[in-house]
Amino acid sequence: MTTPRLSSAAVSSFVVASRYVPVYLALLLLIGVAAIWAPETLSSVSLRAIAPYGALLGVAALGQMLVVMTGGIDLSTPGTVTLAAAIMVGVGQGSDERIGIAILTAVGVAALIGLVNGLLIGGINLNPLIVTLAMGQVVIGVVNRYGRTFPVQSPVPEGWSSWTFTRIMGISPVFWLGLAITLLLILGFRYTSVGRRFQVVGANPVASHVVGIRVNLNRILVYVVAAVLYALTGVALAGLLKTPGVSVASQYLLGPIAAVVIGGASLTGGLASSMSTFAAAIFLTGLNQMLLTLGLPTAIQNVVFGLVIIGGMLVSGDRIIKAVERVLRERRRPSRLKAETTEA
Amino acid sequence: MSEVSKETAPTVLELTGVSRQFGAVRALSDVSFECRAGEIHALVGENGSGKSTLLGIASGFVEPDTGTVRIGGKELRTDSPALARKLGLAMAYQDGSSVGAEPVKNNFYMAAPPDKRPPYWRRKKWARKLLAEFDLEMELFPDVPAGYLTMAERQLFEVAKALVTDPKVLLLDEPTTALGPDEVEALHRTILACKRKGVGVVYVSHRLPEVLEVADRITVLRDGKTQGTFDARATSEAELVERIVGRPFDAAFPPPTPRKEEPREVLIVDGLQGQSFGPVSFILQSGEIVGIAGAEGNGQPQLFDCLAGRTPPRAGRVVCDGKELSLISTHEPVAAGLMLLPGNRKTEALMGVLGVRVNATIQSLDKFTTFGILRRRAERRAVQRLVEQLEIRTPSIDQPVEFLSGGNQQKVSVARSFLREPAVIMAYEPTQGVDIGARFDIYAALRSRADAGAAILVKSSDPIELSGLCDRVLVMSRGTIVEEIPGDELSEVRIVEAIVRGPGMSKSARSPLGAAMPKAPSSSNGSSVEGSA
Repeated sequence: MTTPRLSSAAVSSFVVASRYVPVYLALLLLIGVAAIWAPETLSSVSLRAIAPYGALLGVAALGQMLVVMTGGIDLSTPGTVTLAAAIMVGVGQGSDERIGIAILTAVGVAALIGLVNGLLIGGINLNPLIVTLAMGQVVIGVVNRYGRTFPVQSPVPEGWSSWTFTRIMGISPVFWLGLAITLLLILGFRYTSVGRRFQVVGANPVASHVVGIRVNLNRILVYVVAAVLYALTGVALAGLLKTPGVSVASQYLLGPIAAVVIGGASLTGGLASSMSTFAAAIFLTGLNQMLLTLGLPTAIQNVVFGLVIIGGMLVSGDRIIKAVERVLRERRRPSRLKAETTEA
Repeated sequence: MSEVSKETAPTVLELTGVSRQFGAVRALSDVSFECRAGEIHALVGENGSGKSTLLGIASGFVEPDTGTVRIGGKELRTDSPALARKLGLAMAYQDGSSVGAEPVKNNFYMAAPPDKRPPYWRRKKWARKLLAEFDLEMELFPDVPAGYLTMAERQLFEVAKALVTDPKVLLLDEPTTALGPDEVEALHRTILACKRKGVGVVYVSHRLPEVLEVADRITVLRDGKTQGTFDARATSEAELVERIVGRPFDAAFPPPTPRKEEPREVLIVDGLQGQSFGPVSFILQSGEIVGIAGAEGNGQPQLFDCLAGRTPPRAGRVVCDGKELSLISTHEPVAAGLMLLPGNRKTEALMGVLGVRVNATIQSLDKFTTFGILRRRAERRAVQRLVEQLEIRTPSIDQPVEFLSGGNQQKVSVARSFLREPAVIMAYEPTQGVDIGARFDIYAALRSRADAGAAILVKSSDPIELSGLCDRVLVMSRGTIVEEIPGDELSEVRIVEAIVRGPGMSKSARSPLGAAMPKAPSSSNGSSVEGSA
């Protein structure tokens, strides 16, 4: 059994990376299509408008991605985002001095929601789908009640919303914030032992338990971290919208999940790329904008959006990597293939 | 014991020239086997000699590559368990084919074919009559829910349930592993009752004394071939052992090197007791490789899981490298220097989608971390070195391990112990699914860990591997260590003899009410070890 040395390392890193390729291809395709049919989408005005919303979807999607990496799913996203936005109004009371306390409250309350999710899912092993769906419902109910304690159309503190409309290098700081969070996660996974252990837990919880990693702790805390990211999304979204209502976050249910899938994450856990997930969020926001520019009716927009997500699943990471490996295996030495199958 | 005239009795199960291949493994080659009506025909052999495959083919679960199966004179043409049942074959399963919430009588009722069922309201009386017929009326009661039966009772219950279908031939697969001497006696009474009724019984077991007690004829399997069929009264245990062993083996073993330092006691296990094993006591010294032998299903995996902190112990004390362990988390033993190499690599040892590097260093990240930041270059270097040292064949150190062969996957798992250097390594079937070439590398790797001062516990179902690799071997039976074979006596024959003689536990040994275990749940008989599981 001899292993050919030629560029085999490159082949194996190509196999690993292949799952994240489709999202960038899709992004290129979108730019191409937009340039032909809806060039206004690519105007600097339009891009400036998209960037902060794309980044916000990206931050929420990163939270969802972390949860998906542990083999779970979080459907409480819209609830948490809306609550955070409402807290910016309710606690902020329109006064600039209260911006800090409002943000801290939003993040703190979200962390608590995440902790409850985490304890129910990671601690006592309830089904993540149902727990987070129910928790989202509870939070939405609380927000509705809470929204009645202050006048309708109350704004967030003036200072906060004007900050989100400032420009850093021509783009809203919200976009840079999202990019910074993405970079932070990339570095965290690459260079910290905490990130490494977290990734391993997602890839195989049973084996992780055997090697002595605290699997349940990881599975509990991931919901807290995810909820904090949702809260940051809500806080920034409130700034962008000035007067967030109670239904601001309805597109944050499917959107982040779609970004995670299109970004090439493995839905069984373990593998995901923060960069691709962020890129997928930008792609989805851009697609939405293009459909708006084309002036399609809302019904058609929804259909196209849904079809794109299904298309994303068709070329999802797990399927891609299997196909790539199969092609490579057939082209590689048949003798080794035989040796491998006999040991199955 | 009333004898049905053997020569005239019809053949109820007949396998002719049966072969079956699983991948590269020839599980059975050209095996012929027959069982006559009113006969108890035992089938003996080592783990992996083909007994289970033979039963699988006879009962229609496994399709033979060549050869025919005839049940009650009719050929079983397709691999259909339902057809086999219809032709008059019944099999008692090890566990789990009953509805736990329903009482015994209802389980019997459901097991019976519709034309043999009594009117529904008479089922209790019917069940009682059946039990009396098979001499089990003192052991089983019709109204007890099946889920409340102890492990031993359930075994008898499974046999009785198989008999409800009024079969021509009954297959029993290792029915006595969970039974104490009294229950074995009850089981044998039942089998003899079947024999009197003219049912042919195929009795698979590795315990020769029990086999010799009830069987009429004994067929020995080795490496998927029959080694002959013997008349039970005209043969001896020694003669059978000779037939069972003697497999050629073509891997060399690394020689133990003379110890440089004074051995220390690195693992002390004292009266450890848990789910379906115990009490177990032994001591491992640094630098030695100790084998765990025994037929499958005698508590070995449970012992390993418990020591690794995967299932909490019921009683007992474990000290590793001077630290007392509570074994309530997996984190604790790893931190104390007790490392498990699990048998099931795919599900329990490796993160298949992740690369060789990530898999190898996961237990030693602290070594490559300063203030929580990974030193990736040091990590890569260390893994690269190990890949060369252990000859792991992989295109790169970031190749996902699920694309490696079994032997190389196992090497990745072993590599963890080189990086972490634990005081104790527990290897569960380290060479299962590993090709011959890689086997030697794994033996050498384990030996080099031992030479570096680790104590190694190896569970293997292969007596040749144990005799070649280990410094001494502990034999497990029914959850306890029944014998220790010292290094100078180690041989394949010696290990197989110890396994097949398998002295049963005394009742007091099986009872958790021993003096050392005040915390264990109380029960009137030994079966509670399994019963409360």
